[in-house]
Order: sequence, then C-alpha cells, then structure tokens
Amino acid sequence: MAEAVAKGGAQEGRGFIGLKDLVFCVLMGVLMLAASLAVAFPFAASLPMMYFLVPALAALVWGILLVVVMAKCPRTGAVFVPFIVYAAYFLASGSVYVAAMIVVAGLLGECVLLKGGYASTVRGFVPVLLLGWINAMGSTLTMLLFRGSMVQTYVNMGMDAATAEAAIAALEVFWLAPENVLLALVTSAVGAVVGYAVGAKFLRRHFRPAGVM
Amino acid sequence: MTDGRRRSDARMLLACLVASIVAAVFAATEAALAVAFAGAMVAHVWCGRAGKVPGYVAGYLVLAALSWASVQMIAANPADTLAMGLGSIGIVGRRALLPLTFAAALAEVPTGSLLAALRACRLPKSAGIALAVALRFAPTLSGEYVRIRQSQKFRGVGLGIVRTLAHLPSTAECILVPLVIRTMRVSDELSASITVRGVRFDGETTSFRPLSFSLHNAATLAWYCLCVALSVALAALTAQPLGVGA
Repeated sequence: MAEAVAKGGAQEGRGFIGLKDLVFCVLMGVLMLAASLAVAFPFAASLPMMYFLVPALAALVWGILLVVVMAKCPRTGAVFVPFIVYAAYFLASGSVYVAAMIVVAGLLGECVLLKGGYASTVRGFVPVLLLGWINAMGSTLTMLLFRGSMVQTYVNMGMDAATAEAAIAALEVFWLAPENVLLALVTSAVGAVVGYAVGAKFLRRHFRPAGVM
Repeated sequence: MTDGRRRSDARMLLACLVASIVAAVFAATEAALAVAFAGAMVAHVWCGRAGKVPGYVAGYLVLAALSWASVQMIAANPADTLAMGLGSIGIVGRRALLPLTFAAALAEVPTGSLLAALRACRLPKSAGIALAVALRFAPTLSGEYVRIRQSQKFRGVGLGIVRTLAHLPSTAECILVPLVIRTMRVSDELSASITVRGVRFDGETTSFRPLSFSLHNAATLAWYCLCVALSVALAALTAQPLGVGA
C-alpha cells in the first residue's frame, strides 16, 4: 500500500499536487470567488464600503478557505490554484492588470510556502495577506485601467469634457489618497488575520471531527 | 442541442473570449463598445445561442441606464459618491459583459470536447481539467447553497434579515462550514469520476465527439475579430482628447 502511494506520488510529481488535489483546489477557488462576489454585491454602489469594508470581509472568508486548502493539500501548487481561478475571473471580465497582479501574488505566496511552509503558522498566513491586499487594490487598478473609458462615457452621455475630467479626478483623489490606500491595506490585513484565526478554529472544531481532513 | 451549438468549437469560443478582452480594454467610446457588443450578439446567434441574446441585451441596457443615471447625478452634484459608484458599475460592467458571454458559451461545450480542444491548442492537460471543473462546478455550488439555506430554515436558523444580521457570525458559520464540507465531498466524487474515465495528467485522451474547426467557426471568428478591430479603430478615431493630467 505504501509503495503504491509512493509510486503514485512519483508519477504525479513528488511534492506537487496531483489530479485529486487539483480538482479540490479548483473547487475551493470557485468557492472563494463566489464568496467574494457575494460579499461585494450588497455594497457595490458605495465606494467607501467597496474600498474599506469589502476587502476586509473577503479576506476574512478567504482566510478560512485557504487554511482548509493548506491543511487538506499541503503540496506545492495547492495555494496557487485558487489564485489562478480568481485571476481567470478578472481576466474574463477584462481586468487584465488585476489578473496579472493576482497571478504574481499567487507565485509569491507559493514561493513563501516552499520547503515546509504549509506546516508553518507564520508562512501560511502570507498568501492570505497577499490576496487580501490585492483585492483591496484591485478596484484602484481597475479604475486606472478604465479611466479613459469612463471619461469617454460621461462625454458621450452629454457631460462636457471638463466636468467629466473633474468627476474622474475626484474619484482618483479618493482611490489614490495615501491615507485611504493605507486604511484599505490595514482593514484587509485585519480581515486576513481574523479569517486565518477563524479558519484554524474551524479546522479543530468542525472539519477534523467531521473526518474530511 | 441546436446545430449551431454542436458546430461551435471550443477554440473558436476561446479566441472570441480573448478578442472580447481586447475590446473591453480598448473600446473606450460608447459607439465603439456598442459595435463590439452588437458583433458579439450576432456571433452568439450564429453559434445557436439566440435564446441568450435578449438577456444579454437587457443586461447591457440596464448597465447603460446606470451609467446615464450616474451622469445626471454627477451633473447635479459632482461630489456624489453614489453616482460615481453607479457609474463605475455601469461602465466596467458593460465591458465585463463582453468576455463573460463567451465564457458562458464555453461552459456549455461538452467536457470531452473542451479538453480535446485545449489539448489541440497545446495547453497542459491540467489547464483543461481545471477549466472544465471550474465551469461545471458553479451551478453545483449554487444548488448546494440553496439546499443548505433550506435546511437552515427548517431548523429556524437565518430566518429573516433582522435575525440574520443579529446573529451574523453564527449564520455565516452555519453556511460556510457545510458548504466547505460538501465541496470536499463533491471534489472526491469528481476526481474519482475523472479517474474512472481515464483522464490523467499523462497519456493521451480521445474525444467522443470529433474536433472540427469548420468553415462556420472560422467565419464566426473572422466576423467577431472584424467587429473588434472596427470598434478599436472607431474608439481611436472618435475619442475626445483628454485634458491635462489625464
């Protein structure tokens, strides 16, 4: 039995996720994406909420889910797959910059977890934090990417160019103000810490007793 | 399944998705976006998805109305953050709609054909498996959530908005924990199902439905690429010059 498991691991790449782990990580990535959309939807029309509260709530949920992923599949690639799923959604909706940044963050998170990182409490927190920060800055990046389109739309719908530019400039001031950027990063970090701690608690209280780990 | 859908090659849909992303980024003016969107709707009709077009058009019009409403609100009060939020939803949402319509079409391609098409594009098998699993799992996830909520209501948990908000952490725990456990069970069943069907990282797999990039697929792709090129050119020619500091 042990030889069969070792042989299977060698065939799939020792230390890397296999087919079963890939399927699980993809499903958890879809769950994380659905949870982040569900968290964002009630606050979509409020810029302050989208900038400060939504990243914190999303990081809280992701913290729980990423803890589950790292506990269930402690192999290289397990954390990167949910990042790829999340990036694919942004790519499919036209936010190319955000997708690229999520992929970079996923690679960075996976590098941090090399050589026993999945068993480490401190290093295991890094991918959660990175995803929270990327989500906090994602709206800013999206706004910068579509800035020209926003001005053109306002002009095409009857606003004069100067007013359209002033409106977008006011939006930019909000998104790019250093104190707002810092606050968004801090709130998402707090959400990530809480989510990571709650995830560890759920692991002990629910998932391990249920026999799914 | 209509004849159009049976003929839609996954590679054609993937190429249209990539073209849609280009249109979303570069079609800066309303006219250019409308050209790209109209081209996409014609492509969907040719692919046998005419039934989805009214829904997509309705979504586009609702998002356009949001943009228009935000313009009126900003004209009255330039510091209105709600107006800016609605405007962002309307503008970014319409651009996101373009590639998402083709992603939805890709989700309808049979799994074996999707895997074979991605393999023909020289993509790693893991990418095809991941894409097929992700596209197929979304409806399952919503079904699991509905069953969990029904079970909660049967037990008197999470009834009404006030009660849900008053006990938000425990309600969230009662939703998230069963959802994660069900996801784990589904992943075990899915990976066993995939393995039984002979799908592995190594080795060759053959598709039950033969792949064919027909003249119909080529014409649809050429049409949509032409529309995207026209929309990008139109945006470049008609865009208002931006002011200082843009």
